[in-house]
Amino acid sequence: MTTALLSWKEMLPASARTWNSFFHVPVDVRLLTILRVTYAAVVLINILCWWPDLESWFGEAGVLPWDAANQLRDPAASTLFAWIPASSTVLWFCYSLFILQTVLLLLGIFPRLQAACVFAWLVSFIHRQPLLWDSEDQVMRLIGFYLIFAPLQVTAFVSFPRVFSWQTNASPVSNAVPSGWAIRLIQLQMCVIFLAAAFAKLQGDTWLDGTAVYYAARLDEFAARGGTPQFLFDTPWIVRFLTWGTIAIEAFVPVCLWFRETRRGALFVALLFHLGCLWSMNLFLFHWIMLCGWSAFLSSEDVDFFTAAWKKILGKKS
Amino acid sequence: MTGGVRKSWLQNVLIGLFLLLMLIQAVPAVPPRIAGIVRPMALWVGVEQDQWQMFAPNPDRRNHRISARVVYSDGTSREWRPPAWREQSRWERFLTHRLSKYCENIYNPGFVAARPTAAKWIAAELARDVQSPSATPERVEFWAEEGDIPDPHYFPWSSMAEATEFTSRWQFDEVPLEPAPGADLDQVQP
Repeated sequence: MTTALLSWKEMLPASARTWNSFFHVPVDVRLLTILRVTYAAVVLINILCWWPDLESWFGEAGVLPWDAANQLRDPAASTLFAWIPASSTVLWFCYSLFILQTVLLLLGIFPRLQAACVFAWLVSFIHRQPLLWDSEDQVMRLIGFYLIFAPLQVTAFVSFPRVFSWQTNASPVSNAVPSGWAIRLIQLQMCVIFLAAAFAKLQGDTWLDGTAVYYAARLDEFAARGGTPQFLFDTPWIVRFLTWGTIAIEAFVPVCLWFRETRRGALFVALLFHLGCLWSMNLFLFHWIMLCGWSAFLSSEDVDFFTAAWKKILGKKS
Repeated sequence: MTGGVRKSWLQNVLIGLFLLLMLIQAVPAVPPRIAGIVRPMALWVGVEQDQWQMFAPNPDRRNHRISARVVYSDGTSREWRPPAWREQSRWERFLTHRLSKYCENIYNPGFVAARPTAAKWIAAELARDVQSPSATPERVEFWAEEGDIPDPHYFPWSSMAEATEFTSRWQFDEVPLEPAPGADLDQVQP
């Protein structure tokens, strides 16, 4: 009888096979297109919102001129603004270029180059002015970074209308590109975000006693005016359900998404969760960028399903 | 070594590196000392991530708001207030999201160094429609107000639509806009 049950000679190739079958799986071009278009749309809305206050936030006559910002920022935080003159003209030029490259990413014109440039601009503006940002900006940066490594070039000039008019009976492989490891990283990042948030919530007494949503709904900063049914947040048992439900969703959605049987259900729950939060709280673009990130979990069959539904709606179904 | 093999080797190294960066920064169980080692690299690349909390471990139990009072050389003063967030429409709230984050951070002790330039900007904003142009702004006082959200363990609950009652108000900083002529240098803090 031997005591050693495992062999390195067998384990290493098996681990390599598992690694490859997890990270280097083909990815549907249409999914890449959905990710590219939704990401670019969210970033574009985000940066267009800076327009009226651009000089105030980033200009030399604004709330934080470059010299003051330079003292405030972490020396390791990279920004292109460290290398270019601090002037209003340069600021508007950089901002216009940022908008232009985001539009080009949206349209799929040299998408990989645009993804890299959009990421560089996003990081530069964020590191230039550290007082304005929130979790959504972190998610935006991270998805943007992983997209640089996605084979976006295959999605060039592919837009939503073309995605949803693709043949519904086409084999997923025919639309696939060899390795979607960057998409896997987006999937993992999304799961890490939710799991870390669930873990952090379990350390708080208001999350455990079911009153956290009561407090969150009464914070002036996040209160949504108009359209939100107040009884949801004024009724103790509903508030407890929403509080504990939030922890459950953040803990279980990232797990259930990896199993074929529960993936669609988990995606649907994540969709409802984010739409519900959008409806009841003001969190700017956080839930939109999260939905963009979760779309990395869509499968070819899901796109086929939406394509068929889209055609049905348009009355184009033969 | 073929191009394909070399490429996949490089891809796997990148995947491993990005996974490490992601997990070390975001997983709460990782000791801060280790997270601190990778942070400069993550900051340089632009992929830094803080702990994902999202109203954790507990949402704030009180509402805050800030305001600023600009005091002029003729003894008059004017007040600058950001919008009342709760009274804004959804669209207005969406458009002023960055301003609300900025106001929150100006109150944050971690950003004390941003207050002098904020004071200048506020004074300039108010100067656009100042009534006595001869008066120059001398200093800006930053004020905070705070109101507790009623304890949910006592019933009946307050409605979420009810406005916060701000019960305390205090000055949390004062920024002189120009050094007073002939100021005593001995009084300057090191």
